[in-house]
Amino acid sequence: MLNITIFLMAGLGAGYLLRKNEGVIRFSDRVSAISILLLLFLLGLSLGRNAAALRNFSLFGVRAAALTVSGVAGSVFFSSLVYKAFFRERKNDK
Amino acid sequence: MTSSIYISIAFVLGVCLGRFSPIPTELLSQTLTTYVLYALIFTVGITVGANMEVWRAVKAIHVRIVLIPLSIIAGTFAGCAAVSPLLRTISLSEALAVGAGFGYYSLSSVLIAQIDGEALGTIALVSNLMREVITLLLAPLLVRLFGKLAPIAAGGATAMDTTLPVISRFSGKEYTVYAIFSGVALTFLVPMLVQLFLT
Repeated sequence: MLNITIFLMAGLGAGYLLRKNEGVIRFSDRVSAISILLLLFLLGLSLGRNAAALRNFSLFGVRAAALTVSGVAGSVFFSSLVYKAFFRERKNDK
Repeated sequence: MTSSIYISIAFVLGVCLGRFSPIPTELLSQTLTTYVLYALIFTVGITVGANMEVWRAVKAIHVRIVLIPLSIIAGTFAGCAAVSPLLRTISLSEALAVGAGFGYYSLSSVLIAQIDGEALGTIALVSNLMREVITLLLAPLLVRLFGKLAPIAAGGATAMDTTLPVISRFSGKEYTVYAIFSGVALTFLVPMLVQLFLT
């Protein structure tokens, strides 16, 4: 999985150097959109072939919801502390 | 970012075809997934690189802007870690990996499916999709109860694009810079943290 870091960093450098070139950025966005569709289709395909996983699909939903609610609650709570301590009072001194 | 409707259609279409088509697709999907995933990661890098100028916001506004993504990361992980003992088949590191999607459901689900398997990948897909939907629906309520950073926190990585309109509407225009900065930082961290937790 080291490749992931390499591709991410290569993209980062390319994106920074080409940030003024709107054509390249638009092309990259399109490649990204098509890759996402293709990858989600392929994820669906492998899930569809996995009968055991498919049977547990409703259980997935419950677990996913538990992780979402707790993750969102935690991040909202921590950010509200940061907001109270650093953002609210100083709103006008930027 | 591609609309969630198209993404859901592509996913459901894949599930149906995988379930009912007799054609063996394992070989095709394994190698193809790897290469398309690299292409996606590369374009994610381009998006983040092209938005590098948001780092100027750190100097221009104040270093306190860094506290926004940091508090979101800490809060998300604290929440996922707290609930993981209740989810018997999901280990702590798997729960943290799902949380590390920060709402970026397309990238995190595929990445997690590739490293850990399609079961956890699907949980990541549903969980992170819910995060985006919760943000879109609850943004006004979150602002009222928890302050103007709350929808940025709930939106996670999506605060830079799909949930930005509701953030700017309910937290105010002056919070769009915070939202974009936080969203870009979290987008960059999604592949890094998912890998960290699963390998």
